Amino acid sequence: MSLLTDPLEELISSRAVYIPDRLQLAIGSALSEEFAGWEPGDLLGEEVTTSPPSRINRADRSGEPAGDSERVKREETGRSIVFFHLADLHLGPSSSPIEGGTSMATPIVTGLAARLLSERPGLTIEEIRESLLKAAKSGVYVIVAAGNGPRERPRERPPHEFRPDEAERNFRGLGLWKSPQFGDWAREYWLASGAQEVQWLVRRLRSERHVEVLHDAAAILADLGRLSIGPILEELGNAPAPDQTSALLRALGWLGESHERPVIEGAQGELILADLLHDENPDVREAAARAMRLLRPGRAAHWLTRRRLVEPDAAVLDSIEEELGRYSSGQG
Amino acid sequence: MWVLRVVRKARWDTDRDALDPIQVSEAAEDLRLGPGEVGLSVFRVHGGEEIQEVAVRYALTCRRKPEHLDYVVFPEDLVQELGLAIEPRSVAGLDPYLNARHQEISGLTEEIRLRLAASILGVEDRQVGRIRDKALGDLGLELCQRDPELRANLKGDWPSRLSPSASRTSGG
Repeated sequence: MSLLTDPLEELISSRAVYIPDRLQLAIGSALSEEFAGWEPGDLLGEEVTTSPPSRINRADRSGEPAGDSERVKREETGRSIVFFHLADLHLGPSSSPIEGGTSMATPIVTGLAARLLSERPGLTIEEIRESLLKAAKSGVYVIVAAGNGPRERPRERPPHEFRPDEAERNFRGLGLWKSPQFGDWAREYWLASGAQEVQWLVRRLRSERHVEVLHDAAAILADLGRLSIGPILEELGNAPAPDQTSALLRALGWLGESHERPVIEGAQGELILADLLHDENPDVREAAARAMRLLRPGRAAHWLTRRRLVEPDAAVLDSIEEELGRYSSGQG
Repeated sequence: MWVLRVVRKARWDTDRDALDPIQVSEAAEDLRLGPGEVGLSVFRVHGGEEIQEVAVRYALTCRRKPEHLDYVVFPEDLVQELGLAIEPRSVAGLDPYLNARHQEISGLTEEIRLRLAASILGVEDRQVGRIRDKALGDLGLELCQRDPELRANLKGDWPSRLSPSASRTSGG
């Protein structure tokens, strides 16, 4: 079988084959397990051939000479597994690096599985897994390695068409603490979100009740930074469901702890938070008190001081006191 | 034997009425399977200290950021009385302490989910609790000192929040 020599070009030109999510995940998970601990450039076997495997390298794509960071073992292939950090790959002389990580590794693996399935539609998941691993050990093969480091800053995806079905698939990857790999893939999708995805995610929480899904979604919204603030405030102004309200306010509170610590400007956002500080649900009031970290300190202190006078719930009162303490100690 | 389920506390508080269909339905939301789940996760617990340790470990290793950890603890017998199976289930990568106590309830249908929620709400001495997010930082640091291997399983923001140089009040 002719395996991929240039994943991106091959995928672009290959015909589309539908691969169910579960199958993608199973394959990706199996490969991740199999190659855990491998580093870019690692060779699986000792034998080498002279046949050049691939045109994938920076020089080929950009016209620039390959630099020291070039990670492709392109000459000694044969039984080698070629690992490549996609973050090093450039599409053109002045383009930005393509994003690395599992979200990009998944379509590569999916593309391979698609080719297998298009030739032999009756293959089972296990047969596909075995075929991929066997091929990996015997032929020229390109694996895109996921980066190991934590992703500190979300990066925006290049302009693309927003697809609700894709968003829904990735939404269903949230809250899966029993399948952390799947959760990581979904998280990576969301952290590369644009405004449309964020708006979709915020609205999708209207009907969500699962505590872990709500937690993951709120954490993602917080990690997305200021991009989330507008859609969250808009939704909070539309009388959202209680669970949704708490999750969105928690996201704002966490965002207020971030290094970025954006500030909500304008009266509308401030009034929405002030209104929620009087909600009947104590959890909402407590979360609203923390979300006020995003207001200017003087404005937050104004609302919190007023609420402190009438707050009946001891836990909420404690949080209000703590928030006010942040401002008096200069943290705010 | 008792088991702990992570829930939203307000749905299970002791003033909730097992005979009120709306309240039962709200509680049953916490017994709904997540996407791709085949069994409902609970943790077998003995006594208050173990309840707290399970709750804190769950918050630190299954969640990315500090959020109140609410739970309800109820007799395992309730599950079996409804004809449901409850069995130990190992989860790859899960904190070993949690993994040793992790159980899955299988066979839940929409109707049985409601009946289980009503059964739990009908137990007067069920334990409903909350580990506040602000407490998780200190409790997490204590746990990491007692069990240094826990650090390898910390999720999301927790490694930095519980780093030795982090403030002991950083949990909230």
